[in-house]
Amino acid sequence: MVSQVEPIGNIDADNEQLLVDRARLGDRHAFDLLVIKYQSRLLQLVSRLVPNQSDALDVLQDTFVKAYRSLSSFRGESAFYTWLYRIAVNTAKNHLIARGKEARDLSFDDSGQEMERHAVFQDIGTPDAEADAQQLQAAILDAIDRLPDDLKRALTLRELEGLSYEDIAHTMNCPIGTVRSRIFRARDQVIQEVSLRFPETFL
Amino acid sequence: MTETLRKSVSALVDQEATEFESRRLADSLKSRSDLKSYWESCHMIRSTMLGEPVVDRTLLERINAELDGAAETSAIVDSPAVQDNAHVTFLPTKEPLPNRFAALGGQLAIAASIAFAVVIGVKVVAPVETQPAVAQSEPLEIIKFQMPVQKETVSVSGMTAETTQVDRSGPRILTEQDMKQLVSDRLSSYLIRHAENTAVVGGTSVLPLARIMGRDEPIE
Repeated sequence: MVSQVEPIGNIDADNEQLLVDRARLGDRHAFDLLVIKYQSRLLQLVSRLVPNQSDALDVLQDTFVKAYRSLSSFRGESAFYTWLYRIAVNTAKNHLIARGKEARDLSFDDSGQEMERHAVFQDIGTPDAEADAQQLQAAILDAIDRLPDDLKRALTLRELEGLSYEDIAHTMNCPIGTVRSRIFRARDQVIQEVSLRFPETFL
Repeated sequence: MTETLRKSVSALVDQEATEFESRRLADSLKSRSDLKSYWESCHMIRSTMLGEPVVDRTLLERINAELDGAAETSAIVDSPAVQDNAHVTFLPTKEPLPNRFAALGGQLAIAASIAFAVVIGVKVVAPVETQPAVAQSEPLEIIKFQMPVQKETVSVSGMTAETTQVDRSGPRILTEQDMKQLVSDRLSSYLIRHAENTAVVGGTSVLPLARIMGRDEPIE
């Protein structure tokens, strides 16, 4: 039974800023969370610029290393991902120039959304790793598909539509606390199910 | 990991956590690795739903290894063990240039003030010019004990000559009378020289009432 009323308190509109601030102070754990948060999204971007999968991972690694060392220059005038996006594109271009290849003429806005919407999924890594990744993703999608409808809908509205908890609450006609709880329960159920099949990879 | 903590991580993934939750999670990151794993799982679900590639965990390890490599280099340089190594020379830490110039300027100002005060003090307190005659007088002689000489008359085939012969018979022990004579001669010499200098300069003698005369012979 999901509780209908749950106090949310004062929601910090930018939880990410706290992690960025901690990382700027040298907190590597906070920076790890930022890497985990953006690595897939940036890898998708870099893979379009650098077709070689191994090179793409190298570029992604360089991107995050440069980002960490340049955190002091991040003034927060743009979103943290926008800042990362620019570093990734420049690192990829420099990589291609160094390899003697011509970088593709890329046009991107500050958010980098336009190009990513048309990004083509690519698995990264060796064939074995690629197969493992595909199996893991299939297991995650299968676990999501078996979720109860209210949990699956809340998670889908959040992850695929990008709605805030407040918007989801309006859509589902329920309190924000319920949305928060449903999304957590959906994730928690998927994690527990998949971790049984992939104990070393997942959680 | 408690359900409350997992729920907070889930909210932080969506940037919907309260400020208290965010700070508590950020503070717990160092001591709880399971928080990071749960965070990673939540983002893996999101990436899978969005069709993004799954990134192997080795990427984060590689990033940390590269960052740790740089950190270890600086840590080695800063470590006392390396600083004690005689083969490694460390330059002293320099202050910023403005501070060094300010300190130097202050020292110069103090030195100039002291020099100025000394010059003014000399002008006011001791206006009398230095007495050149005294300054140019001979340095005091060190008492020298001259070996006594012996006079003797030598007669060679009718010619008579008086020769002076140095007594090379070795050191001669001075008697008490000899010592008194030497001291008296030297003291007389000092008194005479002092009187001459006083007469030249025109000032007041240190010994205004002393009679300038030798003990054995009067002043000419």
